Amino acid sequence: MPLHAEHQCMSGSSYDKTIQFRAGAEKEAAELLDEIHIGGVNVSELARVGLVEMLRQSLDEQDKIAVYERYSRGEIGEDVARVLLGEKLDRMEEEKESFEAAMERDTSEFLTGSDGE
Amino acid sequence: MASEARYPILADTSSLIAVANTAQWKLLKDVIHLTTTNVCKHELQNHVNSNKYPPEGSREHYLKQGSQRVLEHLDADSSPWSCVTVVPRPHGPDAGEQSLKQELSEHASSYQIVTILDSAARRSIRRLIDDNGYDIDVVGPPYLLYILLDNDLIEKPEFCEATVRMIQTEGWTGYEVVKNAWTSIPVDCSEILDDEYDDAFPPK
Repeated sequence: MPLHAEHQCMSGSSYDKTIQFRAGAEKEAAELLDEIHIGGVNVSELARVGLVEMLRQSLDEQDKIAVYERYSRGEIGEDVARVLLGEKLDRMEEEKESFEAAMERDTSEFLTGSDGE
Repeated sequence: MASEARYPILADTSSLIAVANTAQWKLLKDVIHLTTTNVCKHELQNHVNSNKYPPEGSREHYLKQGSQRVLEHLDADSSPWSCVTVVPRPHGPDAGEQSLKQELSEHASSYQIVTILDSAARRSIRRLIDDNGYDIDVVGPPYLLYILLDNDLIEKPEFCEATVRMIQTEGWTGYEVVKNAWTSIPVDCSEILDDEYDDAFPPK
């Protein structure tokens, strides 16, 4: 199923950009569910959530590192990085804070030479 | 034989294996005091016993080699590392993490640093520390190499080589802790390291 973004952009926050892809039975299935489900279904919302889920599932370890590297170099925005990495972005921040707090300690105290051994 | 002393750094199984597989192991093991638990020691023994001849380069080989090095060091005479006994002994796949929690709950004032490789375990132990108001930082194993760097026992290129090894073997788990160490210090290891380590970094 070919998928192409109409715009390659740094910002994922605006929802006026569309993704188009060819769909046959999938489109009919979505229309059918919209028709028979009480209250209908929001196909765009389902597609957005489903796409994020599948994008994340498609990321391998190297891809995650590549995304974060680009984010840390300022080449992609936080919103785009967040689509792909989710709460991993917050965890990175937590790790940084913890490491920096640990750096403030007097590390010479941890050495074997520090206690006269 | 490792004593039951409590040193300011408490380390888990995977942290110890990670540093034991770096080129700085021989230096690190003798110049830093640290403590682990009897449960982590048991996990190391399991890694050694589980696979007799793992192929070179495999994850099993990495775990076995690292575990063997750590165990030999723990059992060496006048080892600067200690192993404390946690009672009652936790069981199950997260027994190592649980043993650190039990140890911290009883002897938090002995420790300043807890080093753990697994991201979820670090967060879980941070919660325990925050809930109890302990003055302890929870970090990844690159911190042990940072201690060497901070005390001028190694230079930046050696620090970079040792930490990039954790990205190569642990993927995102390693990157999460290593990247933050590099950012915080700061040190630009991608500039310092040569092409040999390209596989750890995605192409720019």
